[in-house]
Amino acid sequence: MKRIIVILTASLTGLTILAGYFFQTQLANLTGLLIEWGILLVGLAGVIGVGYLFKMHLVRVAHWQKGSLLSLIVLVAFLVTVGIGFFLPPDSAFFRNWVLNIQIPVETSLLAILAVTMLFASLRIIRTRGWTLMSVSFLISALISLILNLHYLNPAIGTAGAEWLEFVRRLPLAGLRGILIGIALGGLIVGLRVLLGMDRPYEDES
Amino acid sequence: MNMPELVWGVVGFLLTVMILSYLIGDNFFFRLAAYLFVGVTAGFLTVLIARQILWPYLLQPLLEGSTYQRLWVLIPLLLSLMLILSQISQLRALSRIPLAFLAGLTAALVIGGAVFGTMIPQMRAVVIGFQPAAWHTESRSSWMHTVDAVVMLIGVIGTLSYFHFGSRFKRKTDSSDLSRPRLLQALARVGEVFIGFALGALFAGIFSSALLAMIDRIVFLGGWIARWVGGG
Amino acid sequence: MLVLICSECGAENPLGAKKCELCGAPLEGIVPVDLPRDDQPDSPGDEEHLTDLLHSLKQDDDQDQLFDGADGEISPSPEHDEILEDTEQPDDEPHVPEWLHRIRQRAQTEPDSIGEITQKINAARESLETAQKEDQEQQLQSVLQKIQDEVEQKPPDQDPDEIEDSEEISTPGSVHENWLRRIRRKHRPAEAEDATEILSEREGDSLLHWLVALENGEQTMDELVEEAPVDDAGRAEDTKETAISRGSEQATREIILDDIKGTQLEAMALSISREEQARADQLAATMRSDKEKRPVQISDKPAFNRGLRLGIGFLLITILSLVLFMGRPGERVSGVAAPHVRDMAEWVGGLQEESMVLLVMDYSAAFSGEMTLIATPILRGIFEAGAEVSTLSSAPAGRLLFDHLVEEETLIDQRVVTDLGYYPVGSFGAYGLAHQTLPGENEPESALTLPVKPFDVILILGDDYEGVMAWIEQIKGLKPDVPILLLLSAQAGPLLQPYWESGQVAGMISGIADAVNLEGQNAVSSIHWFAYRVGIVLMILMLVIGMSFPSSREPLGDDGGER
Repeated sequence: MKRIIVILTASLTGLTILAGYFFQTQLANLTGLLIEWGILLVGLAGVIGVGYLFKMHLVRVAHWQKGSLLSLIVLVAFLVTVGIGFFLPPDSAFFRNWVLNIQIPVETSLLAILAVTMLFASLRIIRTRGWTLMSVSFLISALISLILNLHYLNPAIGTAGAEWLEFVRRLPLAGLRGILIGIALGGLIVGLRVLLGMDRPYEDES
Repeated sequence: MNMPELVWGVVGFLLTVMILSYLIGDNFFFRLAAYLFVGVTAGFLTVLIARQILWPYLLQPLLEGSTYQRLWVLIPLLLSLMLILSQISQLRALSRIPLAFLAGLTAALVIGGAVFGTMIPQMRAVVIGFQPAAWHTESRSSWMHTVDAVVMLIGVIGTLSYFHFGSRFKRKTDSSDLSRPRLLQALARVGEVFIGFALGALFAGIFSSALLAMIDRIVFLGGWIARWVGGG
Repeated sequence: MLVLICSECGAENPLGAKKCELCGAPLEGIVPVDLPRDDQPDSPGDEEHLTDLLHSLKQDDDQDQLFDGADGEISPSPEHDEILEDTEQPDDEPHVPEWLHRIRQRAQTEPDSIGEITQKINAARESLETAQKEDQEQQLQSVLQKIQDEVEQKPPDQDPDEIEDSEEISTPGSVHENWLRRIRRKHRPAEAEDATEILSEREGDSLLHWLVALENGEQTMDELVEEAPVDDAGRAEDTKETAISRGSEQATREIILDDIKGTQLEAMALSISREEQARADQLAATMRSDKEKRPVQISDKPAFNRGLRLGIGFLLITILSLVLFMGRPGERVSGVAAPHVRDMAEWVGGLQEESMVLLVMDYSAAFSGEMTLIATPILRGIFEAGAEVSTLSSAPAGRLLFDHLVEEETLIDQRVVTDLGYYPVGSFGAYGLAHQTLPGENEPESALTLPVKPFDVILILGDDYEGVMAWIEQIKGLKPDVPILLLLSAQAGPLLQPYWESGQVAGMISGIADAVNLEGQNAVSSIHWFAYRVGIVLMILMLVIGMSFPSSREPLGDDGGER
């Protein structure tokens, strides 16, 4: 009985939202409410996740385990941020600077390291993957895309060169479109399985 | 340069150097910066959710709303309580209903988006490629449009064939070919080439973004060094 | 047949080969492995390597029983004898090849990849077996009861067939077969006729299930042996006969259980696709070459690689620094803008004073530098047109990044831009926005405070395809008339290009390469562009070098070995 209630909850919610695609005006209130509840639950799940993170680092510090100094930094940074965030008004420049002046350098630098890693990987790509149909087409496409990004090739409009360049530029589109349709097909199947109760990700595995 | 600018600049400079030190190898300074980032991000997320989600969607209607609004908030309040209480191990089963609600919601959005937002329009675009009326780009000749449309069709079908992993059980007495149909195999091989092209373009895109991030950091670091050296 | 299994790709190579025929990896030091011959009747052929392996495992067990018994119906091959001699196993132990013994040991003790797979198979097998056992025991009870009733009710003048059947019971070799046939014919005709029904009861026709089923069959034999009385060693050698000679209900149960499971095993003839075959081969190769060293995974030059990576890093930073601080600014890009860039520029140019623009902030702080370069000219155009702008974030720091961008580029006082809040999931936000009725029209009121007029255009600033795709899918699925413009990082551009091609997106700019191509613009710092081009040339060089020195690996054939 409990299982039926749970499955019905998922199915009815999903069917209502799906119906919203066809009866937008009639169901606007109901679907709007469901979406708001969903946003609330996602937000709450996020807070619970942060709570787990906090607890994990707290335990590590309390037991003075290995890496507890770094955990202490996490806790202090967390508490300071929460304190500033709640104490200062929402549009505070200080709070913005506090968050962004830590997030931007760290995240951008991590992305910058990726550039080095990709350069290194490009040296070894054939060594790792060998000469295959896909690796050859991958390399050709990567080289062409990079060369086109340089903007050295700029034939005049209407010439045969421009036509061929456009053709080459559009060549990856076929694969990309196929990938997008594939992703959509996968999403459709998984979604239908959830709505029909064949997949029940909300049930505890244990 | 005023004091806040100086302080934030120094913080940004140090954090950039700490993270880039990972190029030498994993080290304490890299981890220090990473953990600081985790703490700040977690705190920011908490504040953001509290201010932008919990307050307007739950607490404000409950505390300041009309009776009608309060009634409507009771259901999400109940779902939220179930989610929170489910963190107690004895009450874990309570999470099923809010999670089922979220799963149904997400599944429906995925289905709707996939069908109406991607599958139908993208498949339509493949077909429209063969219609001369849709060749709005005057600069290209009609035969080039035709070649383009054929390549697009073959590429899309090939890519989808490549990801076809179907299998079926047969009786042992069935002596038919166990592998995929030959046509599907050939299309998958074609699809392999097109997927290679797609991945190559993605690779170039990702590298472009990463390279710009590197340029951004170098400009930042160089700017700060120049200010310090130049005294200003 | 003794073969050498390549420790790198798992391919079978003839004895004495120096290099792998498929991948060219050296085969020195690899111990030969015994595999069933392809021409053996039970061997399904080249297409079913994993089946070979599992059959061989099962055959090993069967042969052991036969060797231990009175006389073996299946004589071991000469190669098998060699292996037996090599391993010098004591006679009283069941023969298990050393490599299999190691795999089993490792699977039980180590939580590594192979152990994990085996543990999963074991867990699945146990689960299936428990369910099957319960079901089978219930069936068995009812079947036995019915047989007993029939025997009691049987008139003295039975028909000859049944008399023959009952006489055959006395010959141990055919007893259980007839018992089962009769039981099946009378009580489970469906199973007797078409065993594939059993398959239909199994959910998920996956390779794992098949493996579980095969393992299950093998386990049944083991269990039957284990169930035999300990005090009589002879019984364990031939469980079936012993059990029948006992004539008890327990004996019957053992026979029928064995046969029911045997039928299931027989029904496991399946068609597996090429991909599954490849995966199965890979798994089999991994299992076979467990005791071999894996040269690919253990890098022979870790210090060299680390040094090379470090060197490339310093090279990139040095070159970019030189270009950025000693380069030549002022270079302008010539050429024709791509169509999607022209469309974008036209849209922004056509905005009027009262136009309502929604900016969706869907990028993280990592891309703030790139987005500043890309978005600044467009945002400047929007603000200069006097459009009313609102922001909505589906990235946590979305609004902060908008304020940072606007302040840094001194575009406009950000306080005049309405903040519509943060949606943690992009598709929720897009669906909710598309369904949102205007304030005052309906109850209950939403937490989202929308402007009085609907939006003329939605401009999405995104750094990855997933978030932006969710917005496009929902908005275009529900409000196809609202135009969408995209300002994207270079990494998000390629996968979202099809949406522009299909007409779902009115215009897009992806990465600095598109931004500099905006007709007549000069906002993108030319020094950034110059450094970017140098970096791209460096990458092209690296790719060419990588292609020119692809190591000792031999070119793969048409098959490629990829799949």
